[in-house]
Amino acid sequence: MSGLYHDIQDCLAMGHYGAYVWSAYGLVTMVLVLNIWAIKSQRQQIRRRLQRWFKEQVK
Amino acid sequence: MQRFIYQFAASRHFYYQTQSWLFPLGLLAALFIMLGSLWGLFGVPPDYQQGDAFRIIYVHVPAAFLSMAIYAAMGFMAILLLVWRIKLAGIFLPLLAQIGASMAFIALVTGSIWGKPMWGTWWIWDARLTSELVLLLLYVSILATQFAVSNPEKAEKVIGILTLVGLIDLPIIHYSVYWWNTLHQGATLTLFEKPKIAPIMLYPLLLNLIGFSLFCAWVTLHKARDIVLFRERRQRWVMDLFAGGM
Repeated sequence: MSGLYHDIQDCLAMGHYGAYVWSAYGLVTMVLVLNIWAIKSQRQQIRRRLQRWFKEQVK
Repeated sequence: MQRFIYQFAASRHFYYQTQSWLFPLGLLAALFIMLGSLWGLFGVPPDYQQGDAFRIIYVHVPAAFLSMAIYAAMGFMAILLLVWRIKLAGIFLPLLAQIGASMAFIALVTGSIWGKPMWGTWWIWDARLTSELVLLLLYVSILATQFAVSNPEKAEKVIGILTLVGLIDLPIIHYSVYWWNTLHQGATLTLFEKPKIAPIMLYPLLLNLIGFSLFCAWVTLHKARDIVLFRERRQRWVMDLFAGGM
């Protein structure tokens, strides 16, 4: 088991470049997730504006 | 061609036509990006010069490529809007700027993170880096214009003109590594020449290139459909859709 643990450690260390590689991939993940969140927030905003607009039309 | 664009750009047609594209687009984007990144991180041997630090290439190059490709697409949209007066192109312009800015930001920051261990510095004012920074600033100024002009359709026209003016930056970015002495390495992939990367290292890069492109298309399409709905709120089909619970 300890052999496997060692391998994973090595793998994540990325030959001493771990901090660079992982922070780069972490940042990319963050930006992509933020863009997905932006879809949702824009959709909610538009839905609210549409609702308000239709309500005004009915009046 | 022109007829096809006109037909497709009819809002209602666009809205219903693209409904079925969203799910497969998103699914494929997620699959390609996950496969490409995992393969690039764990399935490829380290580079003989750069060790494991080279693995940043698998996110850096797709983002950098897309930051330019998206701007080129915006140039096309600007012409569609300003010359052919296709409203749908105007809706796409600021949306493309949003995702394009994200890509330029990723390219600059991952490049910086890659530069520190390889070049010994986070940043240097050389041609490639500076021209890419100019591209990010172009995107930011376009987004600022969108917020500054309150009438969205007027804003889109201003953005269209701004986009066309900024197009000059694209060839400068592309040729910067050939025209000037630079720390940045030359292009890894070119259209007609043999890639300067071993095939085993190339495959994950291609996967991520496709994955990132699909992701950008997916995000932009999602947002564009919602905006079309709001713009066309006076139309019968939107009212029906909304009455039906959207």
